[in-house]
Amino acid sequence: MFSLEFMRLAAVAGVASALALSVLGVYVVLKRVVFVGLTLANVATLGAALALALRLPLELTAIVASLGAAAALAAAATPRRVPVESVIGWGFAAASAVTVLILARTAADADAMRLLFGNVLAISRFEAVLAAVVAVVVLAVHVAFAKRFVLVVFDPQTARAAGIATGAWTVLLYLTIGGATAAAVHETGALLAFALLVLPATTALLATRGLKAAFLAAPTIAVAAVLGGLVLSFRWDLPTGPLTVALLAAAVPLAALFGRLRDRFGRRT
Amino acid sequence: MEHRHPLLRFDDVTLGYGERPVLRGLSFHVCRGEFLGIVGPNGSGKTTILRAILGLLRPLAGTVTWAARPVLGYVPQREQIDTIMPVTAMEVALMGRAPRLGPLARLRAPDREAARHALERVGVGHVARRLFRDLSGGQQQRVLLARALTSEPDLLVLDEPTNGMDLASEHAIVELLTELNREAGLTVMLVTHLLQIVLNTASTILLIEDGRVLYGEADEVLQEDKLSELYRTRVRLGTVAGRRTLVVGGSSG
Repeated sequence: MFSLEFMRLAAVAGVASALALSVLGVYVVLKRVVFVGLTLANVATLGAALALALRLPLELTAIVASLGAAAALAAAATPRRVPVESVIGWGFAAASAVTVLILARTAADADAMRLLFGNVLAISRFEAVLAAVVAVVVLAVHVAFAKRFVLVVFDPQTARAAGIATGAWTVLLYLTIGGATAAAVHETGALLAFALLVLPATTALLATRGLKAAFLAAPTIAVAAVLGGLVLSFRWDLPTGPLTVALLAAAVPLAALFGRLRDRFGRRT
Repeated sequence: MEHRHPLLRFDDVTLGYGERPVLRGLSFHVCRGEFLGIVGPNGSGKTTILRAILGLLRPLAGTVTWAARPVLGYVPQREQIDTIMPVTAMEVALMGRAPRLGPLARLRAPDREAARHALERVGVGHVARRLFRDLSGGQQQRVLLARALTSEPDLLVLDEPTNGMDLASEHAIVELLTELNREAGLTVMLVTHLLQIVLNTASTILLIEDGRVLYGEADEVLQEDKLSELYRTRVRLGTVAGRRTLVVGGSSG
């Protein structure tokens, strides 16, 4: 089946998005900001809807919108009267509503469906290359600066006291999340982009016992689910995105069970 | 106290948030090798002073002067750390090297050796490979202390290091800090709400109570009349087994 070009392009884009989002997801889950991913995915979709309405370059507008929202979320001061999650929720609701309103007025049904739910089997060569380039940049940044990101997420006050610009590192973290999410949303849809960000990291953190192991397990799980989703959806004639999300979701309780058994077994030995 | 060159000096400093002052006219200094205890109840402004020392809060008035910007080994309250991250004690200790190394540098053998040495020095070398979140409160506090020592600091700043500890763990931490100060010559600033913690360890004490400040060498500050006036209740000092003890209230005699 990978002799077909659309399957090869889907595999390249899917694996690239899986690698970038799953590594970033470890930070997203540990920082307890999983809805940042959902909001950024919806802001990227809003950017694409705007691009469709205003005849702007689709991918570029989606990435710019997502990067802008990522920087705003990272830099926004925590409100005093409501938790920061409420601001993230506001962004999610507003972006979703405006996207649907724009698409209702401007886009054909097929375009609207593709923007909202994605279709990894219908992507172009350019989109596959873009996803791969974004993944390489995101992974390079995170491999190079892993120690800084870990310190800033683990104990920001001590990092600040040591003279590390925690605000700038948090903005960089959110920008990479925004960039990777926007690049993935157009091919995979907001649901799969969000699932790739959150579920492999959750599975990895439940199944493993260390940060390095989690950072290795999360992309392995994500890539396996993406390739498994492609193959099974081709064989069973099912939609690729939802099937991939279902595979990722099924891995979470299995990992939780495995983690519990391992902890129990580990304590007895 | 004036015979040595101060490492850090607060001169008539007003600290606060926005335009609202929390502490006014604060003056004290810390010299190399000194052990300063900053003591006050919750809400008295201890954390505000700590934030100013760490460079996280600018004074509203007055000046904070460093002789030369030292390497600060900061030990936060362990409750401040979100233990969800699955890092080992060794990985936490190694974080102390990060500011020295720069963002792109790799950890090398001397860095690992420094972290291992620091963990052993504070008595938790045997848990180096265990997850930080799986350790007891006392062990976590020691690992955070080891992280500060791994940075090879000029000044160790500790925020309520004995919070929530049992008596034995509390005593062990205080003894360890005393040893680091007296034997290794490390300058220590310890923030606590319990005067008893620094009674036998601090060389200088800064007491804050209800906006009033009492500062000086320990022998100067730890006097019954001064403490009784500051706390507005009878405070008595005594000695048991060669160590200072403190009793608040009680009958006279």
